[in-house]
Amino acid sequence: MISHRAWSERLVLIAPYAWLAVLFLAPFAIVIKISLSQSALALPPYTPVFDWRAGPDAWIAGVREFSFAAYASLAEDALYLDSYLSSLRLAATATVLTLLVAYPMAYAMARAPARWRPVLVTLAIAPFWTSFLIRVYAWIAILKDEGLLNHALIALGLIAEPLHVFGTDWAVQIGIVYSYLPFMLLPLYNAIARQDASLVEAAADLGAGPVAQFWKITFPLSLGGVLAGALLVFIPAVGEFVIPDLLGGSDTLMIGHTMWTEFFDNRDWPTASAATVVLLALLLPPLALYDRSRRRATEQPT
Amino acid sequence: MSSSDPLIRVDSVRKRFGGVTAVDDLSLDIGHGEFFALLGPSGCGKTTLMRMIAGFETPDEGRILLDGEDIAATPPHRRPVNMMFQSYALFPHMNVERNIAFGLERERMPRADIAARVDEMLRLTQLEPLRRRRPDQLSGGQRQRVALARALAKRPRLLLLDEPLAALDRKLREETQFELMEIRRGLGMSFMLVTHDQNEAMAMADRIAVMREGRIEQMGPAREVYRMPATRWAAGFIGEINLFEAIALRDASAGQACDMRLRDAPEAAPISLTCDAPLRAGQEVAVAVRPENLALRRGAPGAACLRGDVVELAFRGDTTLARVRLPSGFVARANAPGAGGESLTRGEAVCLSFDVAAARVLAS
Repeated sequence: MISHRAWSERLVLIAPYAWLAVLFLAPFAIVIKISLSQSALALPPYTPVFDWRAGPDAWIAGVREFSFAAYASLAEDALYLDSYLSSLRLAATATVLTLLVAYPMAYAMARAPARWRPVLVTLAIAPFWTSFLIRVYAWIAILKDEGLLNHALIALGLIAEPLHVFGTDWAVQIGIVYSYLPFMLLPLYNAIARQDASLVEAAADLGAGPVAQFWKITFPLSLGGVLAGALLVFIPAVGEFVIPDLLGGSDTLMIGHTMWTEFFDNRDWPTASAATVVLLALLLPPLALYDRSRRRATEQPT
Repeated sequence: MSSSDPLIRVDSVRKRFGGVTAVDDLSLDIGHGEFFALLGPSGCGKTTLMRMIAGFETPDEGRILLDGEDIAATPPHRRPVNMMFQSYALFPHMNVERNIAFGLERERMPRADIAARVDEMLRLTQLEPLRRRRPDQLSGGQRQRVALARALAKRPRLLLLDEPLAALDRKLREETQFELMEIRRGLGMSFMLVTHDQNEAMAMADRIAVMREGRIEQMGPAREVYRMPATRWAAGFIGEINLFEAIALRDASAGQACDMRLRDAPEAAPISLTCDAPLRAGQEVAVAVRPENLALRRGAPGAACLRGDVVELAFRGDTTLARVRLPSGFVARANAPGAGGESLTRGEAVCLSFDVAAARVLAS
């Protein structure tokens, strides 16, 4: 016999899976289905189209029409390979830059007096209160040739000619570092703040100077936060669309933008869907890595 | 440095945190090879004093000398002093061996010497089979040993022990006390123990400083502090003690015998006790007697004794603790040897007496 309590517990367990099934697995199944279809001048722009009233014979005939032609076209066109590689490279560089910016900030936050820490955490996530799009637009005004940055640098006499940042990969990386900084900052902050303060004292007591205290104790113990933050930045950055679209130039190649072109300009839904499926496959290893590190972190008794 | 310098001299040190004075004009010496204990309730400043010696806090006033030299400007990582933390503070990402080797590696000791020293420490603390374990795979007692081995590995001039046994259960605590004493005898270095547990301080230390509100209330050899408490507060903090109210019958200077009458024995003959401080006739004092020095007999009228009624009896195996209410309302505690206590019953009239040699006059 199953008690009421057991039923409610089951419901709680089922809820997240139901959410995933309805809002991720089902749409993703449709994407896979479209990636196996052929482009067509129709509405929707691909065949076969399944009609649920047509009956099993028509469905089987439809399934027979599936092909990997869209995947083959991905392999044939160098644009896709270049887009993937360029996205991975841009995202990886931006992740490293974000880490370099965020670590000192997180360290300062974690070492700040206890009563200041909640305020600092709030300030770190405060940018989220304004629209992401508006914040990225603001960077156009900062980075463009006659923008704030160049005005300031010329006024200070540091440069004579405007720096050409807007419309380059550098602008995209600045945009990613800025936009994703909180995702790096918070895991790092947690990883540093929860360290027992007496560990650093013990290291000092045993003869470790400030540099050794950091590299032998604080940093190794924050590696979980480094990995979590890096993946939280890297994974969405690979598929980023808005930032390269607004801040990047015509030669900025990212898979998000290539997909968009395929979808809306070329109306080639199967190829765009295939590109999506491949992107997900590319991101599975880092996702699995993140999951494993989190599992290891929760297993460790404190 | 001269050979007569103590290992550590704390000279008129003062430390404030905000408006609170944690350590107040405190001076003490720790000798070479001495086992010194700082004993006091939480918040008395003992931990602050220890952290100043380790270098984690800086005195606001006063000096701390090591071998006669001021170490104010020396950061913790350059002091020949190591500390065993109350939380143990073991490095969670390193195994037992690496934890112990950490301090030696910072000294850039040759690798072979490090390995030899680590082996020696593992043997000393009986941790050899656990050398590759991580701290989270160890029991509380094992972690305590690792913390001790790590702090001892560098052969510090002075080892600071911050409540080293607080996290252990009672049986393990006793065993560890003896081990600590044995280890120190073997290595011959100075230990400074910080504790709120008087038994721990008594059992291990050569000399004890009893701290209260940032000052030293009493300092001396462990036995003396127990047998001859200097103030009412020190007497009450260390072990159980009865404080009988008494009145001095005539003036007396320090070191002289002084007659006094106990408030709870008005008809008995005055007792004569030696006092440390000068007394005036009529001054109120306390006569301190440990429960084990209080003899308890069935009501013997006429005898020079404190008469009272037994209000409670607690059998403790080797002894029976009796709580006896005196006429003034004061409840005295007496430890009757097992056999003596058995025949007593609650409500019975008894007579308490003590040898004047085991009593102490406390003017403050």
